[in-house]
Amino acid sequence: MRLVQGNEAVALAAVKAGCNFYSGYPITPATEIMEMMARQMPKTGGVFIQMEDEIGSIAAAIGAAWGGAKAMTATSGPGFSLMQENIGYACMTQTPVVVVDSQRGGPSTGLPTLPAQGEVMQARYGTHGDHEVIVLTASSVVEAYRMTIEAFNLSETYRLPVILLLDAVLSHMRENVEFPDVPVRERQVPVIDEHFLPFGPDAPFVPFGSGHHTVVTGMSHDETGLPKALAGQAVQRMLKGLQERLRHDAREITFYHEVALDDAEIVLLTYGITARAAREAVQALRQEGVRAGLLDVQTLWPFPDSLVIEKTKDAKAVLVPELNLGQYAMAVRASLAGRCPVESLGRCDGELFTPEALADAAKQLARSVQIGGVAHD
Amino acid sequence: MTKPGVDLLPYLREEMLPTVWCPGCGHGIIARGIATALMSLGLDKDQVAFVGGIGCSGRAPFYFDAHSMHTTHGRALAFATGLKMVNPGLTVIVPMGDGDSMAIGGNHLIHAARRNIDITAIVFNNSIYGMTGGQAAPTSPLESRSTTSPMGSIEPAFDTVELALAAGATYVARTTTFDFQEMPQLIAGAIRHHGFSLVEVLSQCPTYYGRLNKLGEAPDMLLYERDRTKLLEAFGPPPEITREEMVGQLPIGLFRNEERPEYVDQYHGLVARAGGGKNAS
Amino acid sequence: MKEPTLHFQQGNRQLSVQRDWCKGCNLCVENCPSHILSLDDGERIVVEDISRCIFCGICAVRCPDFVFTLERVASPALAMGGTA
Repeated sequence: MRLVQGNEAVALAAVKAGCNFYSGYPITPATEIMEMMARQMPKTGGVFIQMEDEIGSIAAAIGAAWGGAKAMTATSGPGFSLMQENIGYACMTQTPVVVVDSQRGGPSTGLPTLPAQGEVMQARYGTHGDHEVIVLTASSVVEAYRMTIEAFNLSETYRLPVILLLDAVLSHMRENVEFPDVPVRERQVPVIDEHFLPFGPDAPFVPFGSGHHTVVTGMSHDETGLPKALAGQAVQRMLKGLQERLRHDAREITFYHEVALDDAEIVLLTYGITARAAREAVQALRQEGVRAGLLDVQTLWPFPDSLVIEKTKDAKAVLVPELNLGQYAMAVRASLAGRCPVESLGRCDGELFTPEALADAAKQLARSVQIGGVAHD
Repeated sequence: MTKPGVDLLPYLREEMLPTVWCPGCGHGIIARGIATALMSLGLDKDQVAFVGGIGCSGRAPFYFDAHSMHTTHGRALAFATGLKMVNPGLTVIVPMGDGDSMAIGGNHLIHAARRNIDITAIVFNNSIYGMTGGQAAPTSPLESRSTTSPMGSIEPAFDTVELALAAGATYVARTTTFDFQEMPQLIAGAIRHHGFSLVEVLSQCPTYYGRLNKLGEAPDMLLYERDRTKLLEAFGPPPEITREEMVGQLPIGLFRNEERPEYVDQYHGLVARAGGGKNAS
Repeated sequence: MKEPTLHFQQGNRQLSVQRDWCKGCNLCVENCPSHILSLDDGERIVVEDISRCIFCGICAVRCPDFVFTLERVASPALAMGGTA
């Protein structure tokens, strides 16, 4: 048990997960991750490089993956925006890579030292064209540790970029933690023959030097990797295949925590740093006799439809508090499709929600849909 | 050194041929020069990786039977840096266009050169953006025409060699598609060199640059390349030619060939000092 | 259907031509010192008279499309046990 900073936990977890390449560029509030990796990578025989900008950082990480490394980079909003093109490249080339975004007030330079959750939609859709990414988030230092390892695991399993969203408060806060044992998925590079299709369905990730001279291109290509005719159809086919896999595996890849949902009439559905306050709010509400519950979503994307529908099926209302003006609420509303009212509670002023503010909002929502606890039956 | 009786096909990815390049495009001549260089060095294809950008030159990696990455516009050197650091045993060759290297990619060129990382950059300079239909490049000569400088460019051309030298590249050369002997020799020297190498190859684009600037077809453009360049003896123009006489002509040849600490070696030294034990690759 | 590579032999020297890759750019035609190359109606390379080829290799080094390969091969005379 020791006192660990959020960013420090991410770096420690990355090393635990087998990360042996880190490239980055300084940016508040993610810089400590890079500074730790600058010290750690030479000790473990991994590679560290501070690149000239964030675009170079993500590019080097992708190049390193094709060289055989488990690669990571970390940034914040402005850097995350710069990285979008190459994140799309990782999607198109099915390259495993982990990108940490510690969110801060935006847009633009915004509030470099203050928390926000403004990249929820951008993490899913920031790069152009149709693509899949997995987006995780965490609300405590120990969860940041756990989710970092899961990020590496998922990027290996599905051969896609995994984005871990943190925030300025989580990155810099310190908590007493006992690091859990999280299984690490090792990369298995099989022996391949001349019939190997590097982008075939469920094809393993085979970096350069394994005998096959792979063509890796951001152009639309088929299962061979070559940008041939009808490549558009091939890309669509491969993407739909990946979507199907992710849908099929939704249970395994959807990480979450829940509090008091069994009989909850009002569900606080939230994620990241906001979930901390929501946890306390739910406890306070319960003491007042309001049947409130919390769904703390850790796998934001692919959107956990079946989880959200299941956990809110008996609810009379859902409150989605977040440090943005309703980005995830949009998705929740779409998913629930009118099953019950979804109220968005958003702010983007660089402040956190207090448990009291969340409890008040929940009570107000309860009153408006006439939930018991305030006036019963 | 260029033996006509040499079969280069083993180094080519035949299923991708013929190339997409226009009839008479100089890029195919550069590709031949690269293949010739690889053959002369006797490199094992499994240990060669091409990392290219976007544009006509960006297609080059497809044509070689080696590891081939076709990355994003201007970023090839950054991808290549990650690849090389993790797998230093690979010979990493980065074909780039003038936009890739001198416009959007300028910053990555500067820093790869500054680091002196053992990568070979080959700049396919045809003074135009061909793939997108003939727009001006930073390397387009002053007053030359393009679709975005229809009345003549008002921007002076960037000197790739000067930039590479200033940024710290340790092997810097310029040649042309006319120079069928020197071009593969300089490329082979660049690949063999342990450090950041840059070879700028002046190439012809008959379809856009040639047509818009009334330079004729490919055979005429090769003579244009010959006439606007002057071969150096060593560093700087030979004594009998003054800088003034060089106006309108570009010096070609080998501008620098120095040994300086190479970046991956330096990083391994750092790892050793940190007690890192096993190698990065 | 890919056109097979044409082989033109003169003694122990062979000029191979992959016409499928020719784009009719004229670089070889204009640079051949013996003027034995021309383009046909389909704008593809034709070797008009291999007997006047001096095997200088200019066509190969000027061609952007790997159409030409020059190699030394077993001379028919040698193969039959005669002298070159």
